[in-house]
Amino acid sequence: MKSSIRKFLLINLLLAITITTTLTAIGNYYLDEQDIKEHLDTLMAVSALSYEALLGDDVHERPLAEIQSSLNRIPQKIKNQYKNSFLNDLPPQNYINKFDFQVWSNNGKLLLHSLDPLEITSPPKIDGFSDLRVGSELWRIFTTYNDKAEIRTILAEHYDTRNELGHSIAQDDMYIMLLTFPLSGLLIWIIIGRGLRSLDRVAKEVANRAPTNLEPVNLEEVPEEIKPVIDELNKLFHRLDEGFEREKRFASDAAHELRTPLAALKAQAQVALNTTDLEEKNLALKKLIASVNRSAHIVQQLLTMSRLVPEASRINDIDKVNLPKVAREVLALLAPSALEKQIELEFTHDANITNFFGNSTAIGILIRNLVDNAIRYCKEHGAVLVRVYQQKDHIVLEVHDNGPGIPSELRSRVFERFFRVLGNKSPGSGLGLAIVRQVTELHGGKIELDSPEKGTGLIVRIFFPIHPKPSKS
Amino acid sequence: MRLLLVEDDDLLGDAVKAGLTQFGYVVDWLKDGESARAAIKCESFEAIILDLGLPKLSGLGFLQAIRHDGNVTPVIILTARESVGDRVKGLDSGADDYLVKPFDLNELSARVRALVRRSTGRADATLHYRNVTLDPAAHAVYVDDILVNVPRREFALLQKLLENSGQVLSREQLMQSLYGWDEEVDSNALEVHIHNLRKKLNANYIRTIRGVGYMVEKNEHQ
Repeated sequence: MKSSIRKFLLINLLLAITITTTLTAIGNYYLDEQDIKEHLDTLMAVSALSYEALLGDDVHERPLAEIQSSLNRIPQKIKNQYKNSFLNDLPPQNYINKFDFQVWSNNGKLLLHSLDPLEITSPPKIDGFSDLRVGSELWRIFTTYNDKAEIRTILAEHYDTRNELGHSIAQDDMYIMLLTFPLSGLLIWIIIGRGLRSLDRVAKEVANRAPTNLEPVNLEEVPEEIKPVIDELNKLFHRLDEGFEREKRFASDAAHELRTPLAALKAQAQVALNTTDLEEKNLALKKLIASVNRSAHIVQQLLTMSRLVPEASRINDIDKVNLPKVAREVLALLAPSALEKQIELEFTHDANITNFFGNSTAIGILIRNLVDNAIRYCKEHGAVLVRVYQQKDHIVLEVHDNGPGIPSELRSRVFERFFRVLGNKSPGSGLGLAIVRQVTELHGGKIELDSPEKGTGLIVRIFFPIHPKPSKS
Repeated sequence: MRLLLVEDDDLLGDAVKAGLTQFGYVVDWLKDGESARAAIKCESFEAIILDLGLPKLSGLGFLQAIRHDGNVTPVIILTARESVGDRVKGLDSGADDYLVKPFDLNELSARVRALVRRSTGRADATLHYRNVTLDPAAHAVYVDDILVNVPRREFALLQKLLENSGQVLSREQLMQSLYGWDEEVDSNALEVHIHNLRKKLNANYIRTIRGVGYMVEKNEHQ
């Protein structure tokens, strides 16, 4: 399911509103009921006590028959009143039957009563409030006793009235809620929309970018909540930019570096074409092949280099590197070229070298480049020594040769791409040590260049940490 | 015609030297700016072919240094850098021409010829004196409009004399333009070449100035 913040918020907010308003309505209903009860009870008490006061102490001398006939006309009067008022749509009849008024003498005689009085044989003896069941109906009763006139005044109200009032209030609440519900939805929709507008703006800014624009998004115009996302996005932009930059530099380096061997190729080919002397032709063709080999070597090294960029070294390429094993395999491949130059190639390693996390293929390339260089720069009948040993929490790869070495002022520069030591007669790509550095850096290691205590030569030490820090990318 | 090639790349330098030698040039090849600068102080070359990425003293550094010393030898730059900015920089540093790698040997040779021609103040690609015409591009010599076979060294000797017609050229000057440093030369080699040329042209075409050297006279209308 696609997640839309707007939809999610709308649905959940409306749900929350529904739950809270429903709970409010239920709470109100019970509280209202209590209020209604108190209110109506008070009304009953006040009315009953008022009637008693109006009847006075000399009730037996009053024209009871006249009063009774007036009481009998009350329903009709109410009806007429309602006809003239605006409230004619309310059916008063329903309510009229739910109120009852009776006055009893002490000797059990009903003196006065509302029309259709409650059928009770005697008034309840309890003063104040009580509940009374008459037939199937439950009534609220208030009685008061005048001991001077010796009469008992009773007011009764059908419980239905009270319930109906409570219900109708709850129902009204419900109606209001239902009416405001769509309005709430609409408002929420609009508010979320406004809230998300800044998000929209950021999205548009990113969407409308030229593909080459990898500038970071300005964080100041971004809402607080999505800053982490934009921050990550900016980091990604940065990495992409670096990657593109590297690619561009790489392509231009490659094009640049291949021009000289290509020029040599073309010139040799033309020399071969322009001569009729067979010996000269063959010589030119041999040199042409040497140029092709060199070009191929440069291309190979360029490819190796491009595969060693940080992005390419994915975590699933990482394995446990057994450095002595990798070194032995590479040295076996290089031994013939050492023999050809009558160079003694020797490999020693400490017992029980710890395996460390790394990329065996990349480390193989590193060793090949180092040892290849050592053999290439070594004098004939020289010696190349490769050692692997453990030093605290590092595994060290050491390659000695007794070639010309690298002057200390150039040691920091030899790792640059295409840098070649001056007067260097060996046909290299200028990438070998750059590759060595790249592999070392990918493993979080460091390189040390040294010269032997006696004679000329070069010692290269690569320190691989046994527990590399997790790489940034 | 003697050229100085300054190129640090072995394979390319070797190929250019071999190619230009086929075109009849005498090529001296040096691999760094410092030694090229030293060479230019004591030897004269008709043109310099210069790579920019040189060890010790860069191509541009070398160029600026020799121009500063007042050397006006035509210089053609060979480079892998092809941006307009790089070309402008090269030409402004005192280069006369610019070729981007990979280049064509024939084009390099033609440009060198053109540079040398202009440096000697000529616009005409061919050299004339009396009944002899020398075409450096075609590597051909015509006597009375008939093609005459002239070997490489003799051709270079004749070209040198014609380019400097009216001037007496010393034995040393001529020898320098005919042979590179690494060539073994017989002591009478120059005399042999002069003798051979005289047989093909005209006995008194090349004049001997005793004790000084040799010369070809200037065309009267020039």
